Amino acid sequence: MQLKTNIMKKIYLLYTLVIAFTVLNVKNINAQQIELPSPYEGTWHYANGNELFIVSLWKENDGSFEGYYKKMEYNNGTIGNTIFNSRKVYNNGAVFPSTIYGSFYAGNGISGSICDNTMENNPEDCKSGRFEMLIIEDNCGNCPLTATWKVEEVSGLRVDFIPGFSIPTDVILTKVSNDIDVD
Amino acid sequence: MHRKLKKLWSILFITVLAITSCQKDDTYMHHSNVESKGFSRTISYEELKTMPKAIAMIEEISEERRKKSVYNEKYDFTIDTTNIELFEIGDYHSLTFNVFRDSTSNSTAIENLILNWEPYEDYKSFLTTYNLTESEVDKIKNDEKIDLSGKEILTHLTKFDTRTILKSGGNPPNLVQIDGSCYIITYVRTVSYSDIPGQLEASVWEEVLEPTPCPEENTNYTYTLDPNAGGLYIPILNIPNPEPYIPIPGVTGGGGKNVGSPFNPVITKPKVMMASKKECEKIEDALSAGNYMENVTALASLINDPYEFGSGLDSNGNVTLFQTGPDIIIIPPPVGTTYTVVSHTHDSGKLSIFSFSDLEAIAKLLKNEQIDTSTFIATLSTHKGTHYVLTISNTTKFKDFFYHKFHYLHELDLQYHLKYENSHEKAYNLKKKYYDSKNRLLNENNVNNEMVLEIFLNFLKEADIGVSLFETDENFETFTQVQVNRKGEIKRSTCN
Repeated sequence: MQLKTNIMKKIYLLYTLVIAFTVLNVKNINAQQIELPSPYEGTWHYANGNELFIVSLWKENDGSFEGYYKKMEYNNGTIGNTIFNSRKVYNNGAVFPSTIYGSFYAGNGISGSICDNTMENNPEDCKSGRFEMLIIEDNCGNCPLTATWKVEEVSGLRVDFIPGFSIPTDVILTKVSNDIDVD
Repeated sequence: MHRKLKKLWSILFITVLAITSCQKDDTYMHHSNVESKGFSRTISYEELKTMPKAIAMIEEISEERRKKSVYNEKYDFTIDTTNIELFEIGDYHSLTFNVFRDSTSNSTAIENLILNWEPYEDYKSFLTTYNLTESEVDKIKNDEKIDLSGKEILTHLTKFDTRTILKSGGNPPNLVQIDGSCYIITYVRTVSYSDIPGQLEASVWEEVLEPTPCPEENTNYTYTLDPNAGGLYIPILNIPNPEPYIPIPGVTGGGGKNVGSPFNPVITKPKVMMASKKECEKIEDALSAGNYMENVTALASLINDPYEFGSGLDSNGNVTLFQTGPDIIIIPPPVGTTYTVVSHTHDSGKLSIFSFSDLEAIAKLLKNEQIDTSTFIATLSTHKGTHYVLTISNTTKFKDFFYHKFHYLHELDLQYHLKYENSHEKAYNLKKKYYDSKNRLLNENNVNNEMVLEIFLNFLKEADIGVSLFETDENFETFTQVQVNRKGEIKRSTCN
């Protein structure tokens, strides 16, 4: 009798574990489905003298990142006129598609392709490059987020080649807002 | 107590069963589908020899003939024996060969030779002729189903001697005799169910009798027209999604209304020449111009140099050497000419395959009218030991993929804005995925050339860019077209 009771206890325990495991699994799946905002989304600045380089990033439904960049006049902390904006709005009503295409990978930040459509002597074409953006981890609780920003040429055959980019290629960006203003 | 214990065991068993069976559903279905559909795969001539049903049939033909092709004088076509498709369903199987004719033939139809195994009999030979559009051919290459209604003609090759392919084959010359006259029967598929996945076809075929001189020897084969037949029903097992073969009353065996016809199921599936004849000829023509081949092989010998090299052959036959360096800057061809060939190398830090920038540069050359896609080829030799030739086989698709490179958005009318945006988005998303992100699929550090090739071919397929790729050797002597099937696996076919 004692033996049977023990067996029953063990079976109850096993059964409880199986049910608990199943429930936890369901909870895990639900947790994975919750979308959390990415710290990369938002507006990032890099000031250089009287110019301010601004990167605007947002997350697409598929989890990838897209964005635009622009350069503004900048005097004593005041943002002035637009020097260039990769989000070009044309008189025929067309708006230039996104110029930044990135994917997030843990440990590597965001990386992908960039289209530089603001180069001098190359105003309407789009020079392709690679970019990487990685948030710098620090122990400062109230400091703004900063991230490395790197852009590089990609190898290959060249036709009508213009070297370099119109945008900074190796700087530290500072996050100023979770919102974006691409105009 | 004992009853409670049993009850508890039952509940536990059902719970565990419910959980585990849910997890295995997909797997079960997957296997179930595979088993119920039969399968097709490419086999080599060597493998053909190992097939129990076929081994006794292999002819003792010369090694040379086995490797390449067999010309059939009676039917004036050549059978490609380098790439054989085996289709198997239950007890039935067929071997499908590409058939091609010499360049004097005006026919653009796709022809296959079918050696159809008929249990307890022998292989019977059929010629399938398909009149297909380019789009349909592309679908076949991608293993997609197409509706063959009115597009397939099945001819029983009564004079085809399978001993030219197989050892002791031996279709008897079973010409049909009607009222003392001889005919070759051609069956034209008039109703097809091939667009219904998983359905066993009992397509309706109309017979066409082609008069032919009766052979001198007496034939025992006679045929009686059945005035009530209303068309022939030849069961065609629908590859690649057929149900397991189920005998159809009145169709198989010796009974039924179709006595005297080829009743056994004929297993067919269009098999297209993987190597595009047009693109193969383009390569041959381009590389045979002047002495340019010396340039190409000279470039191939420089793959261990820390710099990249490049050259171009223009339509006047002159060679231009491009600026050497970390990257190749293409010098425009002389005014009034186009580049027929653009060649370059990749150094040790670069990919073993064409880069996205290479493709963009070719698009710019086309936009600048500096190449003509009907003659243009690009060659590549890499430090990792690969040698490739690239052609633009579908200019429309190529221009569509690079639509954003061929047009300025601010100059486009409203109805083309979306096309520009879609082209831009698609190109940059693919570039990110395959070439630019940290976790890019095509990585310069990957030294597994076969894997890189497979990924690149999948990129071409996903991009639907209209480009064909050929593997070659360091001397650029033989060319093998490489493509991926629906499963993403590499399929090769050599230019003949």
